[in-house]
Amino acid sequence: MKDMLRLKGVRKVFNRKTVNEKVALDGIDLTLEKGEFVTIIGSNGAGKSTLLNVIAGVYPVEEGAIELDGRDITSLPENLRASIIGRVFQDPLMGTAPSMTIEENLAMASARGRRRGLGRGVTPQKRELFAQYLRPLGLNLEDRLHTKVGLLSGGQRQALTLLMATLAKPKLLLLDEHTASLDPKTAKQIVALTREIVEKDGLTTMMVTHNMEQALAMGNRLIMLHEGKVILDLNGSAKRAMTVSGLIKEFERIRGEKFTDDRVVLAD
Amino acid sequence: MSLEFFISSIEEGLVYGIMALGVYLTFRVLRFPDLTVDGSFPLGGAVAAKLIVLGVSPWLATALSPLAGGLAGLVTGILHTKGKITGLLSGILTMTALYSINLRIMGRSNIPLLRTETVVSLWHEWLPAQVEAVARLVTPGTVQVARQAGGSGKTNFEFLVGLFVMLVAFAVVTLTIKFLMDWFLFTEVGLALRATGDNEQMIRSLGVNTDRMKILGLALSNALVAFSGALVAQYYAFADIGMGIGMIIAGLASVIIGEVAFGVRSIPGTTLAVIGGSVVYRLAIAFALSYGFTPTDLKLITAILVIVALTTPTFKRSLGLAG
Repeated sequence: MKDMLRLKGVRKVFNRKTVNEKVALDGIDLTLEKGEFVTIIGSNGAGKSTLLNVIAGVYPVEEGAIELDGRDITSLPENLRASIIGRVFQDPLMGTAPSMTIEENLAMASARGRRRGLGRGVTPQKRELFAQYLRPLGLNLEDRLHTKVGLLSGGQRQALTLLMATLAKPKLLLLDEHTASLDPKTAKQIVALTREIVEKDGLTTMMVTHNMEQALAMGNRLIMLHEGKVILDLNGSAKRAMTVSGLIKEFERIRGEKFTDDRVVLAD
Repeated sequence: MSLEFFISSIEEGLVYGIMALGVYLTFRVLRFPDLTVDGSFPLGGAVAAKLIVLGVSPWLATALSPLAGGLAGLVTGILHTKGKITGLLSGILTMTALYSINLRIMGRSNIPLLRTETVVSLWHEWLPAQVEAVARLVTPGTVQVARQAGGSGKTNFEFLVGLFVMLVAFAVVTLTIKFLMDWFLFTEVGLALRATGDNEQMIRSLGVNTDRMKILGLALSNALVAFSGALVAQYYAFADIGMGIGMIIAGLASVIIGEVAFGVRSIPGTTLAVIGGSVVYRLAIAFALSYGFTPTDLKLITAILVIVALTTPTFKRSLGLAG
C-alpha cells in the first residue's frame, strides 16, 4: 500500500512569544497508508483538533512538512487543499448552507476541486444523481431536494454534510468529533453511515473522537495524542485486542511518566 | 396626485430598482453591509454625463458607467479581503474617496444634460415614432384623424404614448437585469456566492476562494448601482455630486419594503419583490410630497420608514410573547 498522508516533524505554536504561548503540536510524525482509517483520542488540549486544522490548512505550521498523495501541501492555502480533503465538523450547522436547498448544497459539494463556471448549478441529471446518493441514507431526503437545509434536524444535516464531504471522493476525509453533538440514537446512525461510506470508497480517514468505545470500534488504527505528541499508536491486532479500560490504564501510565518529567523540569 | 406624477413615481421606482437589486446582492445575498453605494451611484451618473457632454454616444456612455461602478466595488472588496479592513469601513473609505473622484470626473458639482442627446431623449423620440408607424400600419387614417381633431396641441394618442414611453423602457431594462441576476444566482458561481453569504466556512471547506466571491459580489453590485445612477442622471437631465446622498438607505428601504410587503422566499420572487419595494418606496415618497412635506424632509421620512420596517418583526414578536 502506498502512503497517502505523511506528516514530518509538524509543530504548531499558538500565541508565540507571549505569556500565553502554547505548543499545540510538538513535532508530529505520522504516516497514513491509502485506505487507512485512523481514530484519534486524547484529553482536552491534546492537539486533536489542531492536528486536523493543520492538515486542512486552517493554520500554517511553524515547522515540519505535510505531504498528501506525494504532493507537498505545507504552504497550500486552505481553499486549494479543500479540493482534495473532505471535512465534517462537530457542529452540524457548520457543514451546510442553511438558506440553500438540499440539492444546491449537494451541487456545491459535487463541484469540489473543480473550476466553477456559469453553467447551471443544479441540472436534471445532477438532481437524479443526488437522489440516488441520498436514497441509501433512508432519511427520505431524496424527496425533499428543494427543501432548505435550515429546516432539517441536526442529524439530517450531519448526514448530508458527511455525504457532501465524500461526494467528490476526497483523498483524505477529516472527521472532527462529528457525532459529539448529536443525540445517542442519531449518533449511532451517523456512525453506521460513516463506516459504510468510508468502506465503500476505501477513503483514507482521520476521525477525532472523545468516545473511547467509538475509537476502538471504528477504523483500523488508533492513535492517542497528549500535549501535542503521539503517545500511543495501535495497529491491526493490537487495536482489536485493546479495551477501554486498557486504554485508560495506558493513558494513566503515560501521563504518570509525563508527570515525573514535569517535576524534573520544575526542579531544575 | 396627478396621473403623470403617479406614473413618473413608478418610473423612478423601476430605475432606482436597479440600484436596489445591487443593494440586495450585497446586503442580503452576501450579507455584506456595503456603503460604497452612496459614492458609486453618483459615479455612474458622473461618468455617463461627462462622456455624453464630451460627445460620446449616450448608449456607449451608459454602457461604460457600470464598469466604473464595478471598479469601485472591486476597491471596497480588496480593502476588505486583502487589507483586512471591516466591511463597513471599507465601504465608507471608498465612498469618501469617490466624492473627490466624482468631482474630478465632472470638473464641477453639476452637469446639466437638458439640451443634450441622452438615451432618455433618444428613446423619447424613437418609441412614439415606432408606435405611430405601427398604428398607421394597423389602422391607416386613425392617427391622422386624431391629429386633426387635436389641432395644434397634443393628441390623446400622443399624450398616452408620452405618458408610458419611459415606463415601458425602464420596465424592460429593470426586468432584464432582474432575470439576468436570477439566472446568475443559480449558476455554479452564483451558488458559491450565495453560500459565501450563508456559511462562509462551509463553502471554503468545499474549495471556494471566498475572498474572490466577496470581491465579485461587490463589483457586480456596484456596477448595477452605477448603471442605475447613469440612467437616473439622464432621466432627470443632470448629474449632481449630491445625487448619491442617502442612496444606501433608499436601497435598503426598497429591499426591506419589498420583503415585508410581498413576503416571498424564492430568489426570483425576492428580486421581483425588491423592484416592487422600490416602486412602493417612490410612491410613498410621492404621497408624502403631495401631503405638504418638502423634498428636504425626504431623508427623515426614509429613515423612519426603514426603522419601522426593521423593528416591526421585533415588535410583533414581543407582542406575541406578551399575548
